[in-house]
Order: sequence, then C-alpha cells, then structure tokens
Amino acid sequence: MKNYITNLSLAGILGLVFTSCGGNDDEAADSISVNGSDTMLQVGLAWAEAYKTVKPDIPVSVNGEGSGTGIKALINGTVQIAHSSRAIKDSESASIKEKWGKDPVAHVVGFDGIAVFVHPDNPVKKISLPQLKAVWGEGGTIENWKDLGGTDAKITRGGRSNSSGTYAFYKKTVLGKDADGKGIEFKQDTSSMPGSTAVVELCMTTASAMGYSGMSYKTDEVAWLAVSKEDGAEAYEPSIENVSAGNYPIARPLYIYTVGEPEGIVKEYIDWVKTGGQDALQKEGFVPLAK
Amino acid sequence: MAYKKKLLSGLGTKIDRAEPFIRSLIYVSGWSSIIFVIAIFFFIFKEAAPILTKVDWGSFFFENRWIPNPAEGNEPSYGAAGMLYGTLAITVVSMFIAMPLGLSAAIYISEFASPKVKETLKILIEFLAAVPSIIWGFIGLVIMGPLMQKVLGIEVGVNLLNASIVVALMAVPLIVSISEDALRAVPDSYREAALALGASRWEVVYRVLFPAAKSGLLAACMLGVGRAVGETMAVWMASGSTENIPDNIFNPALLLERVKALTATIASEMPDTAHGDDHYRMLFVIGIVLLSISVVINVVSDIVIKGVKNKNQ
Repeated sequence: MKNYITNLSLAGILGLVFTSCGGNDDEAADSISVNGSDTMLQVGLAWAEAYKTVKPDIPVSVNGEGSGTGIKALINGTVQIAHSSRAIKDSESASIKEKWGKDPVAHVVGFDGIAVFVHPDNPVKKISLPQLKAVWGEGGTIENWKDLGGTDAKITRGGRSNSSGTYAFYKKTVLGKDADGKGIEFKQDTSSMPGSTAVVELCMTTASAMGYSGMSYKTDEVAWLAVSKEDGAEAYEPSIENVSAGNYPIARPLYIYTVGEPEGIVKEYIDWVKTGGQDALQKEGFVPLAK
Repeated sequence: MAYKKKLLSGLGTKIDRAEPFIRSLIYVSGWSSIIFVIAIFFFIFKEAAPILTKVDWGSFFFENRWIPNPAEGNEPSYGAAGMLYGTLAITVVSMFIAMPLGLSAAIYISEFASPKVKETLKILIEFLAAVPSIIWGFIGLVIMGPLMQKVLGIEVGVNLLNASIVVALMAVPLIVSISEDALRAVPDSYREAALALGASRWEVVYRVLFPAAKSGLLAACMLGVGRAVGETMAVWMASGSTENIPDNIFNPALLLERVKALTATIASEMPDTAHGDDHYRMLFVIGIVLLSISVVINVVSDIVIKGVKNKNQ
C-alpha cells in the first residue's frame, strides 16, 4: 500500500512537471517577428540588419522556412509579417478571415525574376518558354541538351520542394495549362532540392544541369539562360533592368502579408521597407519598386 | 567493535527510509518509457486518423506520383511508391556495406587486436558514432559528391550510392559496439576448448563464436537496419531528392540514380503544410508506415533471436 501511494504521487508530480512545459511565450510588444519565403530570406535579413540603424530598439527576427510556412505562422499568430514569393491561396485567406476576422493584406515590396540556371560551360545560352514547358512539364518531349542546340547529354533537372513559392509560381507561369485547359504537373523524375542555394550548387557542379531559382541567388560560378516568350522572339536575361521593364517573362512580385492593415511598429517597418529598404533589396539582387 | 556496529546500524536505517522512494522512482521511470512509446503511436495515429479512410492505398503503395500541390484545377495525388523504393534501396545497399564492415571490425577488435589497439579502435568508433547526422549529410554532399563525379565520371554526385555509403558509416559504430559486446559475452572456455581441439584462430571465430553469439550479432544488424530506415538529415542531403524507380533492378547503374526517402519527404514538406489539411495528414500516414517498418523489424528480430536461443538450448 505504501509503495502504491508513493508510486502514484511520484507519477502525478512528474505528470504535472511535463504538462507545465511548453505553453506560449508572450511576444514582446516592441519587436517584430517575420517568417516566410526562402527566396526572400537574404533580403529579409538585410532589412532587419539595416533597420537596426533606423530603429535600434525594435529588433526584427527573420526566418525563411518557406512561403507556405510563413503564411501558416501568420494564421497562427506567431509572426506579424509573412514574406511570400507567391500570392496567398484562397484557402489560406479564408483561414485568416476565420481566425482573426480580418482579411490578409498584401504589400508588394519588390520584384523577382526566376532565373533558369545552367553550368557555366554550357554552350546553350537562350531558351523559349514553350521549350521550357517541354523540358519541365509532364508530357514534354525535350530530354536532351542536343534538342536545345547543345551537346548530346541528358538534362539533369534540379527543381524545388513542392511547398516552395518558387515551385508554385514556376509551375503556374512556365508549365501553365495543356490543350484541354488542365494544369500541367512537373515531370515525375524532377528532383526537389532543399532550397534555392542547392539548385545553384547543382548547376555549378554538374555540366548537364538545369535548375530554376530566384535571380538573386546567382553567383559568378553559374550561368543563366536568356528567356524569350516565344520560339524565335527576343530573349532577355533576368537582369534588374529587364525584369523592371517587364521584358523578362518569368517575373513575380514579392509580397509581405499582414493580418488586416498594419499598425504601429509593423506599419512603420513596412513603410520603411518600401522606401529606405529598397537599397538593400537591390543590393541583394532583386528588382526594386518603381520610384 | 561497538563503534563499527553503531556505524553500520545507522547506515541500515538510512537505506530503509529511502528505499520505497527509490523503488518508486525506478518503477515510474520504467513505466514512463512504455507510456511514451504508446503516446507516440497514439499521437501519430490521431493526426492521420481523419484521412485514413480516404486514402487510396493502392495508389499510395504502388503509384509513384506524389503531388500534394498540384497545378490549378488538378486533384492532388499521393502515390508514395517512389519514396518507399528510396527508403528500401538505401537500407538494403547501406546494410550490404555496413554489415560486413561492422562485423569484421567487431571480430578484429574482439579476437585479434592487441589490448592497446583495441582501446584506440573502440574510442575511434565511438567518435564515429558521435558525429551529428547533418555533418554526415554535408560529407555526402560536399566531399563524396564531387569525389564520385570525378572518380566515376558521372553527372550528379548525390545519389543512392552516396546516401548508402553515408548511412552505412553511421550504422557501423552501432553494429560494431553491439557485436563486440556479443562476442565478448561468449565465455573464454569455448575459445580455449576449440583451440585445444586444434582449430585455427579463424576457425574458432566462424565455427564457435558465430554460432554462440548469433543472437547478439543479429540484434546488432537489426539495430543497424533500424538506423538506416530512420535516418533523415544525411539522406536528405546526399540522396538527390528525386522520386525515381528504376526499370531494371538488376542493373548496377541504379546505384548512381537519385532517390528520395520517406524520412526526407516528411522533413522537407512538414514545415510548409497547413496544420490539419490533407497534405499534413498524408505526411503522418508516411509516419505510420515508417513506425510500422520499425515495429516489424523489431518484432521479427525478437522472434528470430528467440528462435536461435531455443535452438541453442
């Protein structure tokens, strides 16, 4: 009997200890939490760093776990700002309305071109959107570089994970729809590299690689293709001028999402990002808002 | 004499008072591990439960088409055959490498190494075990990948072989330490008897020690398999993340194909799913599959080991 009571009380105490673990930390009212797009991670960190000189007593913490994750965090209330490299989905919008009673508000903070990266020694320099569709989309017939004017080698495709905003945008813009109006999926043997940097590294080390990623991830050890809207039309590289002028065909706005209109320190931060933060945006390789 | 008695009697009372408390602590700790395991199963089943009735199991196990975020207007599809193949292939190939390596190392350390060499080797192998799995992932990606490209002349260095080698190196310390314990547990009298009958040292190992330590060696291998099935980070970085099923499984070139494992899928996709939607629940279904594989491995190894023990007796 004595043992039984001791056992039970000990188990009870341990149970209480474990259930008291966890729980929510209250957000400090004077700091800003950001999560979202992997594409926007570098510029997000640059903004946070630069904002220290503007408002040193308001720390901004940035994570880049993916556009979908950022929006999910916004829904859960663990961040005030979500970076997104794609437009918010209807289902996500509905979740925010349901939980918070307000609609999400999109703020365009810059533009990004999705570059098609290749190995620097690759002789192919340009490609058209229909050709890209035939390389990447299911049912597409281009598997070898020689069909694009290059060497006789199988194209090693490096894609992104299916929860990436870049993946979603590329699928919508480049693969689009087929003749019956049905959306086209990626070819089944497309890899899902763990991030924008991994795609670029694949193209740096593999001669037959082709990968898509944000233009800001370009390095000197990788090359990108100029893309034309149609076969035979003028092809444009994803430079800041070409994206800004609307000539590069695979360009997208970069968004910041908030729940409802932002107020207070969050509003000040977003206003600054759209003005003072544009230098940092351009330095990171993105296209700034028109002045 | 009287002083000693006083000391010892004081000792006795202290132990008496503390004993029920210590006994309870051990009792509760033992039960808590069982409770944690049950809780894990319960949690995973609970999260996957709403979708279990809607899953198309045929498509899940045999179709290689995992598209949770389809193009506009399409239905999502959850065919996990490609990933099942990836996990299976990595486990099989890495065990092909790890088991001979691990068992040989264990035999050498236990039977043939001088004491100083034995100590050094054991420390080095413990060190191998202490390397974090993401470091192994880096090694696969950054060192072995380019090495493979150069030596084998292939296009992409991250593939089945790369991931298998890395996982094998992670499983080897486990196999070595448990096998070495099993071999050490065989009484010296067995060895002395065999030597006395004229057996060579190698004959002692494979005709006497192997049969005697069979259950322990099997346990070691099973744990190695469990490690290979569950490895996430290293596999994610070193395997190439592509859901491929080769046409011909007897063609050795399949070793150089990129694959994707179940664990890597959960790791790469879980952070980005909305809590409660179909994609999220399907990832928990994958979790159930992984748990079931581990349970089956453990149960099978238990049965085999018991069978072996019974035969020995």
